[in-house]
Amino acid sequence: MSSGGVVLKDLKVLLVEDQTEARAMIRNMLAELGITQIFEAPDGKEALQFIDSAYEFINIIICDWNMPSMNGVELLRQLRTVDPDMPFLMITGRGDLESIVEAKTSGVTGYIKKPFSAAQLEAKLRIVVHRMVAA
Amino acid sequence: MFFFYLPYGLALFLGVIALFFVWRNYVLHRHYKLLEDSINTPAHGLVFFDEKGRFHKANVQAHKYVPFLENKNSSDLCFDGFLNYLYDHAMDCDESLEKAIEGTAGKMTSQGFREVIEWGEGNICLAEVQKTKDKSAIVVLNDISDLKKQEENFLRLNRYSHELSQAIEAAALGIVISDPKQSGNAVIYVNEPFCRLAQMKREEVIGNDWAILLGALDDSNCAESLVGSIVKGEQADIEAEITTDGGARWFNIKLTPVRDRKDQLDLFIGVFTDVTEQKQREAEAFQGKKLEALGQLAAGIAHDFNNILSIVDGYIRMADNELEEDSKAANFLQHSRKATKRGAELTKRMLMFSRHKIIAQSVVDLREVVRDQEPLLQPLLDASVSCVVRTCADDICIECGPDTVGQILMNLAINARDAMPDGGTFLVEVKMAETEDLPVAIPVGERGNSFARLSVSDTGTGMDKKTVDRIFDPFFTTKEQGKGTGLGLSMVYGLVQETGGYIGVQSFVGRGTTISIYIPLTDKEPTKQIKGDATNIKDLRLEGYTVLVAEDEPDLRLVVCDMLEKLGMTVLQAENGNEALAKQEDFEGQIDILLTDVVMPELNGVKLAELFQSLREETKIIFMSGYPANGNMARVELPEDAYFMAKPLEYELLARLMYQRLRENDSDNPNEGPAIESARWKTGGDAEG
Repeated sequence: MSSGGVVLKDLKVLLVEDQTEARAMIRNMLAELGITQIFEAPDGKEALQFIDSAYEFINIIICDWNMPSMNGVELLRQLRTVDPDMPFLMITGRGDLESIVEAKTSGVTGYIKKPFSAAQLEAKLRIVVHRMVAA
Repeated sequence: MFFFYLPYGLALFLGVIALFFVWRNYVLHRHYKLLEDSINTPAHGLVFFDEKGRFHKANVQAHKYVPFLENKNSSDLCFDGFLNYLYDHAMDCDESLEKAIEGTAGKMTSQGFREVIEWGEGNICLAEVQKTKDKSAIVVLNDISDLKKQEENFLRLNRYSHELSQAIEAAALGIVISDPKQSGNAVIYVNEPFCRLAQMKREEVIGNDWAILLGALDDSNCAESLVGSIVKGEQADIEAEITTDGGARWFNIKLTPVRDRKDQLDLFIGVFTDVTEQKQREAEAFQGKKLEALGQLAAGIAHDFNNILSIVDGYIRMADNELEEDSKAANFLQHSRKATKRGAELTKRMLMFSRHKIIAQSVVDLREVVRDQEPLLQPLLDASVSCVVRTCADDICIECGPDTVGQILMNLAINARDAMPDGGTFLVEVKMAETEDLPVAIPVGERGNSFARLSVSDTGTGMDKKTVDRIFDPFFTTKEQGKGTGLGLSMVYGLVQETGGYIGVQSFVGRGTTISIYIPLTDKEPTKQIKGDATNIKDLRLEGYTVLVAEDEPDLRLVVCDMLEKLGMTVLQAENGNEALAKQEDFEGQIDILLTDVVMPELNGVKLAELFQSLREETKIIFMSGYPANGNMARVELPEDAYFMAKPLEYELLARLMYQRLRENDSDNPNEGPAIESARWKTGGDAEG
């Protein structure tokens, strides 16, 4: 479970999702992949605060697009001003071209459409990790 | 004495005589003056010639009209010369004038004639030549310039009126004029277009009253309202439907009363405009807007529903992990998971309708795609329904998504099956669309383009107009509760929109339905083409198909990629599983086949295949390995019915296997070579052959 030395289970994830149930479900999926270092934030603002105070504790962000107070794209834009390379996997319920173009131009490393399976999440994480290593 | 006075008397007498002559001369002069004045006074010109044809006199007006009279040469100034002048200036030389010229030779023999001459610019004069008893001639000249102009205007008006009536006959509008003064307000004029629209002969309409004409209206209330307006002499403007031999058509009917100077009703003019196409366009536009709004609604619901489904599915998985396998609760959860899968399928369909998907378009020959679908259609239909596929001889290349035509056909087949509970024929036809067949929904600007026509007909129950109007609405269904989602045709609508195409529906209750899909043709060559077949591997080409090769051994990867490129395939390569996943993410087109090594570091081929297919369900997998196919696959278990190739790879076998997987829909084809079957790996058993 590694890609160029990066092992999935060694990922340090910040999971940003406003719905508690969804957050718990993704956390469970990540745990199934052997990932143990999972931090959670209910919205973009809290996520930014976490990044400010505990930057070294994470190496990937998994973030929902639609959230109150600060959505995923806004969080990503703010993150990119301080860290252009942090892998960022956007979770989206939208599959339309405009949304995906917007996410890509904002600098996402990857995106995953809801509803997704554990296999899809693993595949997407592997892609993001591969890109992280390749960069 | 007498002699003394005689001279005085004579002188007196002579003086009286002289006085008498002076007085007479005076009187004569006065008379002459009066006569001359009277000749000069009238507006018409007068010219007198004596019995020998010599010019005698002309009044002032005559001099004005006939500059010829100013001629000082007396030999020219004669009747003959005058006639020649008339001849030279005649507007339309009269036969009498010609005869007069021939016959005169110095004297006037003609009985008289009239001639119109033009003098000066645009001035017209009527010359009336009359012979008197003493054979002298009088010419009366009248300026008729104004009269001529009036005549010309009159003629012009006449011409306009003629042109106007021609225009009315040529117009697309049906025009009827009736006379309210006649009994029953009888029709006195009807133009040809009306006869065509109403499919009546002119003689059938003329003399008839309005009630008979309006009797053709489908809506009797409309007809009554129009007749009421006519009776009251009021204006009316309504739209009504009339069923003609060519089907139902919509007309705008405008009735206008025309009143005379005394404000009495003089005429009634009815203008019938065929607005069927306009109505259809409005209906199409309305339908388009309605479907767009419903699409947005469906997309919104799908989005939220997806979120909910993700959570439900996730917790089912979590709960399942906590339970013992084969426990009752685990079994219940399996059912719940199946239900969430159905839910996910539903949202997928809703999003398909809402047209907001990313689809990699490729060029396909519509005939081939439809023929490829044929084996898949028959199982969807009941045994009592025969499936007939007809394709034309010409190439029909269109641009569409990889699965567009298949999805369209499958949904239409299911609908057709349900419309034919007692069996029938399901006919699929592919041909070039004729311009006259194009539905009105196609905008004028696009009508010049070429379209492919994919029509799907059934011989089922058919639908009434109200049902036809709603068939593409999401969630609209005529099926029993629980038997249909009402999304099938909505999906078809969305898919056709993706291709830039249009749909036309023709349905007759009791006779069946034909759904015709018009897709713009493209000049481009088909993106994917299989040339040749497995019987002659040397000539086999799999052009336009894409294969991703995941192989960690660089030299072997090079060899395999080279073989596949020889087949004309687009080859993507990755040195490990993670890279393969990233490569597919970056590739926007369809990846037809993943050819993966089984044993690779980081991510083995079987796991890669599982992850890969979670992202690209349609990709077919072929495994390859140096380990024997029948035994211990270095602790990696291949899935059941997996396709496997043993290394070292042989070009012929690889090509056959590629061909077979790409033509999988035809896998029942008995012509498959034995070498293909030998590549099939069955879990729990030996590879065959």
